[in-house]
Amino acid sequence: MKAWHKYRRTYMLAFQNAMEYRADFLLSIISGSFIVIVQCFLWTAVFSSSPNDVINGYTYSQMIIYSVLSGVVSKLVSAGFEGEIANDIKTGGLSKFIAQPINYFWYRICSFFGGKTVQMGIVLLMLVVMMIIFAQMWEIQFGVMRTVFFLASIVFGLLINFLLFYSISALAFVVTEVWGVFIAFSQGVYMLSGAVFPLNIFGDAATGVFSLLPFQYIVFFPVNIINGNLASDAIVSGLMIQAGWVIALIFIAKLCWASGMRKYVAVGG
Amino acid sequence: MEYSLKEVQKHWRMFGIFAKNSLIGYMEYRANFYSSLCMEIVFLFSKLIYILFVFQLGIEINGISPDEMLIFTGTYTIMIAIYTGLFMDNFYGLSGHIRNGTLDMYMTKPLSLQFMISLRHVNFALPIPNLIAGITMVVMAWQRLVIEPSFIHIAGYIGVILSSTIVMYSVLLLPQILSFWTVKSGSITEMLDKCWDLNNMPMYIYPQWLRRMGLYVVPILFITNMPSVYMIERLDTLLTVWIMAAPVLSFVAVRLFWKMALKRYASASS
Amino acid sequence: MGIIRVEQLCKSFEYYEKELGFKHSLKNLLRRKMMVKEAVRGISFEIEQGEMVGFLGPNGSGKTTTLKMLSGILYPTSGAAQVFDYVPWERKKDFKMQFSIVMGQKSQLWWDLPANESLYLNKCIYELEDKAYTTALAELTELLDVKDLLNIQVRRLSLGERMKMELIASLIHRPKVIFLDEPTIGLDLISQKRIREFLKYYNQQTKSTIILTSHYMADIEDLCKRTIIINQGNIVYDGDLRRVNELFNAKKIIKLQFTDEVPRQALAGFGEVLEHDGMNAVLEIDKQDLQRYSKLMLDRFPILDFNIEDIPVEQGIESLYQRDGVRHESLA
Repeated sequence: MKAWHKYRRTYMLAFQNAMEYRADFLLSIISGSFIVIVQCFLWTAVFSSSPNDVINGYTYSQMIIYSVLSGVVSKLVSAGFEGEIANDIKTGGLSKFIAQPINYFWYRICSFFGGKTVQMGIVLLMLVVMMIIFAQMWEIQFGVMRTVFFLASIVFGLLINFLLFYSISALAFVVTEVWGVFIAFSQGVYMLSGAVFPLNIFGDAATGVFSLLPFQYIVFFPVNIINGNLASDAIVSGLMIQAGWVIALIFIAKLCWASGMRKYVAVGG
Repeated sequence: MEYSLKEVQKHWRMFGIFAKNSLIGYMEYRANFYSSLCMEIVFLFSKLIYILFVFQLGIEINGISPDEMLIFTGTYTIMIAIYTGLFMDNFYGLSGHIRNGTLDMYMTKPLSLQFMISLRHVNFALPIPNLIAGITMVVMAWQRLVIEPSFIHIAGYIGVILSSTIVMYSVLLLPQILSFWTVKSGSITEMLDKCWDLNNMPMYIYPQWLRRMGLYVVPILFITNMPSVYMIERLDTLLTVWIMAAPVLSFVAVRLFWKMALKRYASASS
Repeated sequence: MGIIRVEQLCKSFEYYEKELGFKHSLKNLLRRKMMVKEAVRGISFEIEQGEMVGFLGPNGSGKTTTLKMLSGILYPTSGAAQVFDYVPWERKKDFKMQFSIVMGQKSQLWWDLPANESLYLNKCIYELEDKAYTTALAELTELLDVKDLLNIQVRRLSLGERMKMELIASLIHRPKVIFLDEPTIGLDLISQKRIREFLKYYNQQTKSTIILTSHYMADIEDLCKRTIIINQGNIVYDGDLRRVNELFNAKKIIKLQFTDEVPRQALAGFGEVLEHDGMNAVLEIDKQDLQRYSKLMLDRFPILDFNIEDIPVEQGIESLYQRDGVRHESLA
């Protein structure tokens, strides 16, 4: 199919670009690890001060694994293209895509995954190393099935995150100074996705609210799969909900962009 | 530059004008102002999660009660307000001044260059939520701990905050000065920036070696912990002396480094 | 004794050779090739109070570097310079209070604020009394005709208006020495002319000493009696610009217009044919042959129009750039 060609090209370009910046990515992993270090020390202090061995359903080892892996996964699924989209909208770069036979959504998604492939490689390597370390430290068996489910849920998480940011970037059609909103949004997603703390430590009421939102399926859910905190039927139903959110968000993104585009075309970008 | 009283007064006055000019700038870009405000509120919340969690847990962590923890978080938030309000924009702007050559212009002015570069802009949007939340937390913690803050107590607290502010200025300006040597000082700066996250929690959760390093070597833990340590009366003699000495030492260090960088700039560029 | 004295001033700096590509950047990590660029190579001159001197030279010739050393921004590698009785790079406060530098491409104005806020800032930086400030401001805004623009944000001003504001900001403390680095760059002709007129007037009125660098010959031709031409870090000429050509005075330009076509070969014997299209031609001829050849040509060719011109200044300067060595015209 000829039409596929341009998207493959987009993917390759993003891939090459990411290769150029792989050193930056590695550095950002190192600097991002500080917050993980804080959490590890915090949990160590908490568990040594607390009379209980299990806090909010997590043992010490599970909590440490959660802290480390949530840091890694949230790094992996992070978007970061919303600024580019806003720029395209603001400077009229979007017109190019209206004029040319290339779909902006598919262009973005190919570019997104192209950029993520290299990071995926690095992160998977890190994951393997860490899981071996954890397995040695606490004699934990991760299991093949669980790992497969984990990877699948990360792909869904990536999609959910992409669609969330793709939808919110349509805001640039309406508001001129969007960067603050974007940063706020990404920080909000970061918190609500469970990258800071496991979401269920804030009590049942909070857990109930979080389970109705798509955010926890970005980090919290995948990490809990590998952590062994979920039974297999919970994993399967979770994956189904993830898929449901992907479909729902596709519609939401389409809606946001359709209304934004109407405005863009009317003004004449 | 002479350090006469007259010069000090002049620099004070200049700072007032810088602040006024920044404020006029904000009036110009109100959307920008609200945008920053909204962003900072979310960041504030993501820091509050920690203290929320501590109260949820309700136990002493390494001997620090949740109420005492609240003093730490409150002070941390106040320090963030000071950093974002006075320093952040300027520190990040330094490499731009070097690249665009505006530094050259400032160099010919009869005013301290370091002063002009590092205190040129005052940010009014970012510190607002932090200042309000920070002071609220500290006052709340006082009430819960039933501390009757005497005048001496409050004056001491403010004094330690001042000492911390000078240390913060020095420690966070230092890596930015590297941009005199290399354009790619970004990653080093980012590292130190993330180091700052260590302050999300009181230093007592860290092992001894890390605590010592963060207090005496790279005094990043010093900045937010000292005022609180004073408040909960955990100060020993060594720390008391260090509160007096650290600002002097770190300021001298950053001043020397700045002069070294300028010397290099003046001899190595064209 | 001159107000600015420069003696054997040199400036060189080191840089690393950069090669593109991943392999090279790896190699650079281990060993980089260091290069030395000599930006200014031992220049000397002296400038009297009240003089207006032009610095002329191609890009990268060392003009701006020299100005930066004279304003104390850069240290020289060797040599000496004095402005008033100060060594500029000691950056004494008293020195800074008395001079000013304007760089055409670097703004000192606050972008988002009305210009008068930046001017007020400079009032405080230079510790001006209220009265001195208001009179200087009134005079300068009057002269440059920007009174109504003081309350408008700088970013809304045109390039020319902004440059005028830059000038006011730099002159508000009535500096005795002014360095202007490309003050008219990017401006339209009318703005260029306005600024030129202003500088001329200001120099005459205040007896201030001005050094000006510019790409535009017109700036310097119009303003500066004395021009210092710099090429590759050397002074190649120091004197009156209009007399640059006396150095090359051996040649004249002849412009011919014919009523009938004249082949190129027929002209070639008289001198170098610079332009030729059959009906028109431009020739460069030795001065001593001028009379003889003109007569000969008038006899031999169907000439409609005949013009003898000097070699344009630009061309003279260009030939200067191409030769080495220093040529000083006596400053009588």
